Amino acid sequence: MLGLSTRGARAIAYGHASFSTMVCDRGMLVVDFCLATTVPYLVQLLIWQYVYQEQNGSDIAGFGYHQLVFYYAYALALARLNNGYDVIAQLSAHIHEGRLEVQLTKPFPYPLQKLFGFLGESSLYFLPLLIILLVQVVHSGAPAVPHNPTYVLGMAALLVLSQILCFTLSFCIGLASFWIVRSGILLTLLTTLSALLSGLLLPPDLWPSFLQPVMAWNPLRFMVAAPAELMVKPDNELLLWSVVVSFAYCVICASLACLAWRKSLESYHSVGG
Amino acid sequence: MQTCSEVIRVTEVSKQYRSRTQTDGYRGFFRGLFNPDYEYHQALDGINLSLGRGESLGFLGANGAGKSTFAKILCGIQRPTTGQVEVLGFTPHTRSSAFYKKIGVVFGHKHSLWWDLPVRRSFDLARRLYSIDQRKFDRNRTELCDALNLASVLERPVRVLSLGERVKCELAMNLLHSPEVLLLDEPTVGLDLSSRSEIRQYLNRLRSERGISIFMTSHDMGDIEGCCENVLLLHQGRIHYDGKLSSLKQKFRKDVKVRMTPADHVFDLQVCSTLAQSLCERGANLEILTLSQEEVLFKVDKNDVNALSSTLIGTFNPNLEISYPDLEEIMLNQLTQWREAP
Repeated sequence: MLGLSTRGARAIAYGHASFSTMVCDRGMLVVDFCLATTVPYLVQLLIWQYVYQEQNGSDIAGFGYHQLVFYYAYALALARLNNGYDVIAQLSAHIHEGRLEVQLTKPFPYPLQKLFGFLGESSLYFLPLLIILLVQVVHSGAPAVPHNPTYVLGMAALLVLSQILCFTLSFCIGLASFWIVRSGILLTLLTTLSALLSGLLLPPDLWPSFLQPVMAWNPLRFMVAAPAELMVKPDNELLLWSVVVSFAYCVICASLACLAWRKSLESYHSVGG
Repeated sequence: MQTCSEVIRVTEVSKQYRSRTQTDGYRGFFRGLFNPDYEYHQALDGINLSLGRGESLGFLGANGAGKSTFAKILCGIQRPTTGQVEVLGFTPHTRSSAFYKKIGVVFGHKHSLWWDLPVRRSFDLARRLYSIDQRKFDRNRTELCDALNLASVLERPVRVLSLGERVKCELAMNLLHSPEVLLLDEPTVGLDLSSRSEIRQYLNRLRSERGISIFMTSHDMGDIEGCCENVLLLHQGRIHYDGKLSSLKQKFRKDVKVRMTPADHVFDLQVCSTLAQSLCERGANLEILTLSQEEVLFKVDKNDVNALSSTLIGTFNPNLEISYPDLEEIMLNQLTQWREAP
């Protein structure tokens, strides 16, 4: 019990320090919230407004205009919430610059330091989600998430799982830095995969039918598209399925990350001072 | 078996690295993808040592001698290829939390402070990380800030600190939990003279008051002389000396400088040269570095100092000043000798 509370205190400390680091970088906050999130959203809004006008307002792949508008708002906020870019960039920098060594000598495992650091940083990005939810609640054109507490709890679980999945997946990718010289390729890989497979560019239902299985089952979907879809089109069955699959992916990715981490440290020969 | 007073025990530790050999040309590149060739490098070879409670040990050697590799093995970052390491009864490479709560590790050129946050926040994180009692934390922090002159930087973000301030903060952060063993890898790199002095004084105080054991690698002989009683001299992964610092000076001190200045009248240069030549012919190992009527400077083997001094006194009755080389000079000579004849 004492061990758990000590670990909890350490986890909170890492999360808090990471959160504070994010908050003190005001320039980044302005760019991230105002430009990186708002501008792509406005572009999507203009495109889909035109498309729906051409369609005389009829549904496209099961999405009404307002639903799609809210889907993109959620998808963008979720893509920012579940963004493993910093996990990979920091891990690569720590490995290549030898700074990993000082972190390894702390009485808290490095992967957990990074996990709680990531959760701390990301917690700030729950704010846009709440704002969108608030707008959705007051907006009459789009049905909000049901007030059913089970559904709300399920959504909360899905969001937490999406965070853990994002971290473990990014950590696995970042570990490749032990073997490769230039880590930029890992960041490009993550960005490309996220853009294509997460449902950020297009909801999975709008992709051609031969790609549907990939869009339905890939893990990135459960970080962005699945929660976004469930926020605009509540569906108990889909929610349960998403929670179960997300959990399974979390277990798989966490196991892979543990194995890869052990293997990496065995081959980590950072000689010299 | 580790005795009660022994905090570090290392038995027959060796470390071998392998690295991929770079091959030229497309054919070599593609062959390397599927069937790479490796070359092996012996970083450490048959290292044995022990360190008792309250003792300090300096690890000396040229660049690439294996000092940092050994420091990393001691703190569990790397695993030895063969041999056994025990620190405070723990096997370091198992990396248990209990082990890291008992040691402090400082790499002078790397830090774990939170870059964008005030130093105080990094210290607060250390309090949670090491589960330090609030009163003990406050007491230690005040003591460290006083000893290392850090009070003025506590509220400043780490990114605006100078290198020396960062190194001192890193050291302070790793001492907040009162570790039993302190592993320092070049802890004073980039520090000014007063900062170095503050650190050395504080480390000595920790050792005498709290019985903390210190293992240190450094290229700064001032650090070694200022903090370490025992030294270990490493060359190409093997120990070439293990013992007291004072004995090291005796063992590796070869040349002594003898300065002769006239007591009443100037020297006859011809006589000086002839005298040196006749001593050399009798087997003495000496060399004249400066030759003038007001001063003659000899470099002489430590075994020939007496012969030279008595001859000079008998001939000129001069003022003689005998100076022994300092640790830095001794190490420089030794490392140069190894480099020329490995």
